[in-house]
Amino acid sequence: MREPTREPATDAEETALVDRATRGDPAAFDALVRRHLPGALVAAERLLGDRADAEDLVQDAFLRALDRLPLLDPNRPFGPWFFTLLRNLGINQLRAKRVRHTEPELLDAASPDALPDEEMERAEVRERFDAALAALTPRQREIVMLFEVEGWKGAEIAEHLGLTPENVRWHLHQAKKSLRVSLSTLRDEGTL
Amino acid sequence: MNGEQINHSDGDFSQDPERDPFLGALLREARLRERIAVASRRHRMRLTETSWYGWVARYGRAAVPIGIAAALIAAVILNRSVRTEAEFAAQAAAATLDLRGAVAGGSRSAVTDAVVGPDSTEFLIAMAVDR
Repeated sequence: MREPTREPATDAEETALVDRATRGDPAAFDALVRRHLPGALVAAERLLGDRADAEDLVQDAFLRALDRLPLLDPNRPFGPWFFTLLRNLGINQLRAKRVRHTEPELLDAASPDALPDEEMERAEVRERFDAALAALTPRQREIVMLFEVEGWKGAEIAEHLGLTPENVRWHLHQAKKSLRVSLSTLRDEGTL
Repeated sequence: MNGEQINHSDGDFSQDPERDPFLGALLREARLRERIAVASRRHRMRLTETSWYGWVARYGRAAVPIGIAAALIAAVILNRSVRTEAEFAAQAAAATLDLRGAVAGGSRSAVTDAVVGPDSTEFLIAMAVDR
């Protein structure tokens, strides 16, 4: 027997989010971002071949989407519409940079309508991760960001913050321990 | 926070731990989400401000000629009412002179004409036209 369909519920929820975001609800827009950001990043990075450029493109695409939300047909899902927007922006960016490239492949892996349930789950897990991150102390958060994202060494962070390197590593350890719960869920699901 | 808070039973903090690419990717994503949230709020604010400025820009252009036209109309109306008062004063002065002249030596009908106006419909028509 077929399981009660989750897909229509997901679509209905997304339609509601789009509707609220169009009417100016920032939380609804944040939820749309949370839902589509992972796929958008993969797609943008594949298109541009650079992580930093991909992040800028994704941000630009979401802001354009925010502008154009009132133009979106309520019967059309947000995902494919957004990914078309992202792809066109990326291609324009590549053309502007006059980078030689072959026609970008279709964004199959990032296509949000391919696996809506996964998108939904990923969004939920990331919501939990955001909450765990927000629960860190500002110092722990800064240290973990500098170490894991910016690639600073413990000694460099220590000098920057006026701490001992051991102290920095201890904060890092505490931060990772706090994040472990949400991370373990992600690792188990392999949804990154 | 100081070094004395370190609990060394938690592990060895003499060397940097291995970087965690999985965590790094998630943190990068979280940072980007935050960036987009901030940018989208600023963007919305800018749109609101733009609509205000847009309103001023749109109607600001029309406001100058409308203001000039209003000033001109006001000046014309004001000038007209001033002239009417002046005319009224002149008429009153003339009527006073007529009355004085009539009382000083004019006929009875001249006095009557000076007080209530001449016995003619022209007077009434002239008054109506003046008004």
